[in-house]
Amino acid sequence: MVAYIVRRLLSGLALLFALTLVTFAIYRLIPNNPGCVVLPCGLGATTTHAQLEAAAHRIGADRPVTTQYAKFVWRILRHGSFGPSWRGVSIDKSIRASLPPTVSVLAGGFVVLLLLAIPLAMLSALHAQRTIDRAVLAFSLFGIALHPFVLGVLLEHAFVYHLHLFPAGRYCHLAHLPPVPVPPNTLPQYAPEQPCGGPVSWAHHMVLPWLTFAIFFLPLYTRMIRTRMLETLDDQHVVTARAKGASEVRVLLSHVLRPALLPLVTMIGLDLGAALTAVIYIDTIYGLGGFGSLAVAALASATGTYDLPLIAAIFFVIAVAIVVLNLLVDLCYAWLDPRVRLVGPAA
Amino acid sequence: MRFAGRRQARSAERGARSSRALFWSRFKRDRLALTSAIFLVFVIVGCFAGLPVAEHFLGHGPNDIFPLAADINGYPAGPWSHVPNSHGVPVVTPETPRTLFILGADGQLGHDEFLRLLAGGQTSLEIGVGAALLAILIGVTVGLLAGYYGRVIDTVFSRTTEFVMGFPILLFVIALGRSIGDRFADVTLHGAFVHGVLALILAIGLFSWFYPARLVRAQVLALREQEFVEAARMVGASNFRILRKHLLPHVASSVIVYGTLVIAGSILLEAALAILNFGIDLPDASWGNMISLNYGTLLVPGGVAGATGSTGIRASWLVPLWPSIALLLTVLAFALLGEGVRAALDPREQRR
Repeated sequence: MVAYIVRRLLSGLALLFALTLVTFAIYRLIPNNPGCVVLPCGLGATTTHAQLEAAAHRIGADRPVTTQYAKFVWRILRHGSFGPSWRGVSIDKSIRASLPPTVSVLAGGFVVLLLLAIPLAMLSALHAQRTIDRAVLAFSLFGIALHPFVLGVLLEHAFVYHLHLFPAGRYCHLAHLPPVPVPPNTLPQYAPEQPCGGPVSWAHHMVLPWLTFAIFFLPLYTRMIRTRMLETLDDQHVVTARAKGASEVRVLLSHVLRPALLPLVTMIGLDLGAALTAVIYIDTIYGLGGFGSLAVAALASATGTYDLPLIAAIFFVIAVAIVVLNLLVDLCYAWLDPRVRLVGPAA
Repeated sequence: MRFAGRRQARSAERGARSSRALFWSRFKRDRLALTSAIFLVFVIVGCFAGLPVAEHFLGHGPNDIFPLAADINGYPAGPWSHVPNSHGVPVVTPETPRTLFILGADGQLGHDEFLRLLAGGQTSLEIGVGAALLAILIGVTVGLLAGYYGRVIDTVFSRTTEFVMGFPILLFVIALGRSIGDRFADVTLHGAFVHGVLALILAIGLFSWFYPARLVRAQVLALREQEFVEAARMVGASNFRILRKHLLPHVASSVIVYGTLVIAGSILLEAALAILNFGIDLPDASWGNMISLNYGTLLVPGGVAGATGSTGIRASWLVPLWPSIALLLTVLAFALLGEGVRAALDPREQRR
């Protein structure tokens, strides 16, 4: 078992560095001017060519890509840090700041998704091919068809600006934060923004992002659970359970739903990419300042350059998450379904 | 009661029907899917054939600029308004000819929203179908090879896809779009596509083939051990022939179903890219950049006619509404069509 985990982690590590290498290699293909990350470029800028070259030299962007990559890897291995980005900001700090909103959206959104998908799928499977089933199908496909951006804006307009049920987009920390001291004699409009924190306001701020996330994935998961439930409804163990006189609720919950939920575990591992895409949308709509906005800001700039170390670091962190998550998923699966064996009898 | 006799006759002849006829009879009964199919034909014909016709009758094109279609605050003219066609001269006299804007104008520039809706539909459909075709082509090839030959190819394929699928495709598309976009932006195949469409098709297609490939691989893994493959091999069929003649037809149906979903997903992805400022550039229209026009270019708050911006320009909420509705209905129709085709192909659905 331990050998299996170690082997998986090692192969994951190899993939990890291969991926960052590809990130650096792709970057070579992009016609860009790294000096523009630091200095103003483009229309109306008076930056000279020499200034740009000096800036590129200062941030180390004029070295060969291999050198830059070696430096990136060396920093991680030796110092356990990503170093500064080309813009001069500490990458560690920005990543650490953007993790809590992202994890909150992913974890909470997934719980909300399950809370919505399971009842809908049960309803759908028990009334297969009848009006309710069709209605659930149409409703869930509506979620796919409504673009998350459009959906987010609709939700925000309805719940924030019209009904005033939820606060406008901003991330609230789960833990209580100490208030920022206001210097004396400060006009109210210049006072520093107070951080908000605490579980209640955290959840209050996250409801709409969670809902958007859940609706984005609802169709896929509802359909999947429904299909699996339809398959298990006719299984022999369900017939046996009914014959033994188990109550309908018990049959549904422990004999039908449980095996139907098993592949969900695998799906979570596979859907991380799609989930992170959704996080980019949600970050952008609600201004949470998570991973999505960090990545898009690193890729997007008016002059068409991108911040290579920051991008590589983001890809690195995502890759670590994928490797660990996939390993956890496989372990979980073996634990939930005793028939699955991770290590073959020969090994 | 009246139909009982006919239905009986139909079920009696069912045993003799080909699978295609069976599929068609099941599909016809699915009203939702049938409506979607008809709607999609309507949209495609409307966008591709309707645009030149509409241009001819209205007398202007989707990229023509009518400064007088927006009032002094930049607020666009409403639906069904007759806009002065002063040919760029900002002076209107009673003699100035007027031209009809069916859905009004789209902003300060005063493009015709209706014509842009049709032109944007062309762009979005081209991207959706093109990216789906590319994704299916790569996915089926890779899936067939990985499933059929197994061993090293399969291991490498499975590990890589598992890994790559964990990444947000949006970031890849943005990065790739940046790197190849500039080189492909001007490839329009003699004006068949607008600028940037081919680059987006490539970027989206190159990162959407993982799911279809896994789907095909899983099916081929089960199929290759079956007797008919063995029989084909015994009579001396080459690997290529087995793949093409015996395995491909089996996976075709599920690939078609998945293809409709890829089309829907690609259209949505184009819209997302446009809203993030990576889509089709103005003046060419796509549904994505039409939505993003008044949605506010999010990364540059208060950019062009930003609904959230402080430029003092009032934006009409009608402008992003039309393309949003078009996008919603088209994607919904593709998804429902895929669902209908799947249900009609699935023999298990029949007994329920």
